[in-house]
Amino acid sequence: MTKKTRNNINTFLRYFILIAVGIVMVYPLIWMVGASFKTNSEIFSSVGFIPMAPTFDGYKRGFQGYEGMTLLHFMGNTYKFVIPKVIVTVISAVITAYGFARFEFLGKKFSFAVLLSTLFLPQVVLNVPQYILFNQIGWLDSYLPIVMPSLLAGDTYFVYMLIQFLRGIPRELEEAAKIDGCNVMQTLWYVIVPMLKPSIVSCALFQFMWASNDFMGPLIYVNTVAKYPVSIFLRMSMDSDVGFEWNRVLAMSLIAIIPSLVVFFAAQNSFVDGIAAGGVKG
Amino acid sequence: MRKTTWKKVTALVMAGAVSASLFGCMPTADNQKTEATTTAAAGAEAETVESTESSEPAAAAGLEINTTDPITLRMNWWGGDSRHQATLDGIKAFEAKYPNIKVEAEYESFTGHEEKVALALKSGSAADVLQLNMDWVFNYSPDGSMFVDLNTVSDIIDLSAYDQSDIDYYTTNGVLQALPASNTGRVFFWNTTRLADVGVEIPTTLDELYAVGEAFAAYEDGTYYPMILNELDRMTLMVYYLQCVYGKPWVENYELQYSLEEFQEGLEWLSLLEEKHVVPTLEVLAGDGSELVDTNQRWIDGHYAGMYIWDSNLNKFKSAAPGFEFAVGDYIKMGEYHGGMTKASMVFSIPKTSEHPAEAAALIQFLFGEEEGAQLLGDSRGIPANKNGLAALDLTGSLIAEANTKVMEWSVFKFDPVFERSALKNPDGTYFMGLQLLSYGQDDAAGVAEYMVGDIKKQLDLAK
Repeated sequence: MTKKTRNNINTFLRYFILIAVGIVMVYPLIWMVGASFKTNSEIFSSVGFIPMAPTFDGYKRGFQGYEGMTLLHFMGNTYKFVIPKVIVTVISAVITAYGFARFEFLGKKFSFAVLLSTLFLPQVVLNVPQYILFNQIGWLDSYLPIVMPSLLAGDTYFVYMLIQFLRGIPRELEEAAKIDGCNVMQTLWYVIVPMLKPSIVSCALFQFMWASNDFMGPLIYVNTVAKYPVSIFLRMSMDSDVGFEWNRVLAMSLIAIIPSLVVFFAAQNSFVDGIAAGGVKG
Repeated sequence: MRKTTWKKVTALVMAGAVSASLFGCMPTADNQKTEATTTAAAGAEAETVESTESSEPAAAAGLEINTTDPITLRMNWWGGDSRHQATLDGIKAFEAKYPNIKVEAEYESFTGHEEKVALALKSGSAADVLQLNMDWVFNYSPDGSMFVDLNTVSDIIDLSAYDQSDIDYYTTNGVLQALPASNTGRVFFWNTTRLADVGVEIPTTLDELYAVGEAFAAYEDGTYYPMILNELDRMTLMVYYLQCVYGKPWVENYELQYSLEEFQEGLEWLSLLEEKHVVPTLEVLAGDGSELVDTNQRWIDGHYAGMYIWDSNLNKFKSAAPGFEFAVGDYIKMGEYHGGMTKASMVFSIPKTSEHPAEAAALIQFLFGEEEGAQLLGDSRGIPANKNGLAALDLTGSLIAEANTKVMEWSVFKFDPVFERSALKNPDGTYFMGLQLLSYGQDDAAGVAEYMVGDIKKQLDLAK
């Protein structure tokens, strides 16, 4: 056996294993596409993704919607609060992280400990008190209860993540900016933010995905059907008592994840940067 | 040195604070007990009030439906597509009848619905007309203080169209808290194509049932079974069996009416069903890889030929297995008495915080008690419990209607609000644990009976 054939076999084996494992991993997604064209009984009785008797009912019935509102209306609703939420999250988290990482102030250690302790607080625990609070302020049935906590840096995870990144940025840069005459905000804007960009993109992406998939938040705060986001819309036809068409739910889910996929791929490069940087310096 | 100790102290304090705040939110046994005793005390007090006032329901308060000023009502329900559409149509007709009233519809699926309704009720922002699960009424309002007494709007809602037993059931401390949309119970549902293949008839007595089991054991490779019963189905069927034999309600006044020995007898009977090849063991069921019957491959291809299941769900299981014929069987005689229980599949209430109780009552009456509304709703909420609503419907040929008629003719007992508590009926609850111990042979009937009766009594005590 020459060295060349051995190399070829080696490469073949490696690719074979990688492709086989890759197919296994991606198969559920492919199956979902196929299943959106299947009837209920076929979905539960076969693992193949090619439908025997393809039906477009799922797509047709999904686009009938409720009271004249279709999937697109509910997708629009989702982004009505997801985009503001992402923007305010980034702004508030950067400012808060900057404060904790670069300034000494009274009670800093204590506030930081409080901040971190909220990281471990499950959302369920907060539901009741927050609901009562927002009810008294009169924000129910609007997107404010979902967006406002983020404006006040309520997403501890992002603040924590940014602080860790900031620790890796040398202070000398800021000192140089100070000598050049930058004030505190200018330093943040012209020096810190450009360096933090990869991690800011990660924050924005995570928040984008989490907020779009959030089900419980919008469900308890929003009452009017016309304001429901797509995460609730997808479940609206799911009545376990009398049964429902799975192909419809799958078809609508498939369309609903397209914007998230587009955003993810568009920001992929910076996103991977951000995660990798966190791994090294965090 | 000092600094580090301080750090440690702060860390400890913070950790303590977090865990304490978590603990505060958990329903500890102590909390529940005090809650239970206070409600029990309240109940006792109310009972004396009731006895002095006799059981005469409150008279109509003479509220009038406002037909001139613009009013906005909120109505909240859960369901699937057909129910959403039917209810929206009904609301449209209601708005045409009362042009000054606008109804905002709030609807979703069942997932998360209870959390949403519970939060809204507790903080006073609930919709004017609420669709609730039967037991939520008693969970949220054990003393009748949460909901409008529907007796006070009896000149708007025609209460005579409801069965007196329903009205009594939802009356707490003299307050009629809710009205059922429909009543439901479990029936025996058979895959007649498979029964014919095996060469047996639908069984109507216990001996026939055992004989069918033997016939299935001999059929093909012996992997076919006459019935599929998961843990909750088994529990319900066991109660059916015991009620057939002893003729007692399962629970009365929050007291379990069956003794440990009787309970054990029921469990032994369940084991007998497995022995006679009537039902597969839970191990076999687990091997099917599907928690739900309608997504179970072996239900879809007819390996299991029967169920003991809610009449309102039949169509789901029928359409899950295309190519087979199905029929609702007569109740199997297992003793001298009629076993089985019924419950409201859902009820409607008006919370006390509603600013327009009269108009909300008018909406309930229109949707369930008047011909136009009832026809628009059809059987989207089951077979109407309201007699006038039922009379307005033509249900010939409806499988559910046929099943529901059988249920209502046969059943004498009602579900108690505790039977389906999550601590009992959920997959990590008592019924599942106990019946799994039994079916897997990890404990004998006596041990399982002791465990299950203890847990059931504990839940009953908490609800008192």
